[in-house]
Amino acid sequence: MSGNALPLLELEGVRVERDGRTVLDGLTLQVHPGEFLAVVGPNGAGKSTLLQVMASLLPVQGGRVVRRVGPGGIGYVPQKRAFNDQLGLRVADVIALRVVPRASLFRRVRPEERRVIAQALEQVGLAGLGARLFQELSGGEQQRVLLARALAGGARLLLLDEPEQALDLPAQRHLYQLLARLCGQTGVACVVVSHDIEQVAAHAQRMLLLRDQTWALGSVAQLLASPALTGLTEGGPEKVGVSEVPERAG
Amino acid sequence: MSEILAYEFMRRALVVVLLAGGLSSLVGFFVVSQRLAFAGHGVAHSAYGGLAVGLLLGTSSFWTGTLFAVAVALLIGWITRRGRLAEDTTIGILHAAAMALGTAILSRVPGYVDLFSLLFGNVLAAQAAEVRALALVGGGVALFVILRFHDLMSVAFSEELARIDGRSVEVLSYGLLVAVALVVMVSVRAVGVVLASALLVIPTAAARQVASGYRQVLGLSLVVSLVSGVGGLILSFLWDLPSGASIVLVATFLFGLSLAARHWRERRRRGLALAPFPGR
Repeated sequence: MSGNALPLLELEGVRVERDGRTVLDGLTLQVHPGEFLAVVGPNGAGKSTLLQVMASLLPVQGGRVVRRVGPGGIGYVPQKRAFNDQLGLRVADVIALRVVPRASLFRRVRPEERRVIAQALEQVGLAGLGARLFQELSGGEQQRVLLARALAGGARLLLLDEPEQALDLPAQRHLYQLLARLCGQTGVACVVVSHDIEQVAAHAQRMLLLRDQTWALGSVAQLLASPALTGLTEGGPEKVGVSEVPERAG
Repeated sequence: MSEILAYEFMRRALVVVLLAGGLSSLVGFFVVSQRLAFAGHGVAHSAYGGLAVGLLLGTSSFWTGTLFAVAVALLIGWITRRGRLAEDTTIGILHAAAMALGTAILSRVPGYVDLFSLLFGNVLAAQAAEVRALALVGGGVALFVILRFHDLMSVAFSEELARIDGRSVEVLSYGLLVAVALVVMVSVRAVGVVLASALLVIPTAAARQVASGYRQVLGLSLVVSLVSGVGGLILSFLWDLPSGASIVLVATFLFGLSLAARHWRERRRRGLALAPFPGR
């Protein structure tokens, strides 16, 4: 995390309601360049809602959201059910949809655009797969193509919604290692919503816990030692003594 | 073929089936991949109400039908997007209401109404002015889909991602529904309201059995559409069959062939995969 740089994203006292129910209340956090922030919590706690707020997909009912990422600066990788992988798109086409906006049916990808696509695929370890059909890839490879799509579009802030869904353990580990490497080497910030606390904790620097309209934010070590996590870490020891973790009731 | 084309009405009919076929394959790609087949079916049946209004008023039933179909398509989109009713429920209600309205209005139209042609198409009866109107509407739809292809594809891939990329998802989604309604209206003259949605679905479904990649699917569905249109037209002329029925039957036959081709290809691939190494 680069301490001096301005945060890419700032949330200040954010309140979000969905279907008349307050999902997030008074949430305040900053995401800095190169940071890997994990968002954990039980189902319905507002993890995906938070990502949608960060991505400007949802309006807030209170508070303030400041994004310092520029156009195309947000890269979003939705859950598997949120994209259609039966369109007959090739891997390069999926990325071209972001890199080449407003193109007609007959517009071909130009050499410079092809280079950007190839570079992005290389960054995520899928060099040479541009001609493969997206629907024929494994779940893990599809996630990485969506990451490449975000990077090719100039994303500085990557938002991933439960990327481990439908991935086996080695694929999950590979994806998290890739994200950690991207954060460390390129200065891209990653916010990852996950149900797998152990896996994501191994790679993240900070963790945000959402539960019952309350939230707790701190370093991974602080949160793992916090009683706030009790019940979420299956079979884990009880976590005690974390006065450093700022926690507030909503 | 030259004998068939000697007739003015056959030349007009050929233009109509080529128009309907070309447009159906283009828009049908999105209908099938976004599972809008039932929406197409509902819009086609809803056009019946508008056609009846045209007949009652003594004006062009093509334009009243088009207005009706577009309105119903937009209504389906609006109600579904608000999330109050499931899409199939919305379509079920609107298409039944429009059919009922059409039947009630037709009972008030004085004189003889060729209900059979309305329901199942009579492309041989297309007039020159009607063909010009179809070409105008069809040209507009083709331009929209071709020029906004990446945008439409992006929305089909993921609405969330399209929105983050700065695309106007609502405009594009409603635009696609309007395109479906217009293509249905271009096809109604050829195959009638009952079978219009078949042209939107069958050629793309057939192409998807054997083609890989969306460009191949688009190309092959265009071939299936045009062969179905021209083949059906010839059968209709030779055997005095309703044009709609013969066109849809040819398309269905081609779909059956594509299924068989896929089955054969998969069996062959499995066979090759299980074949022992040479020399063993």
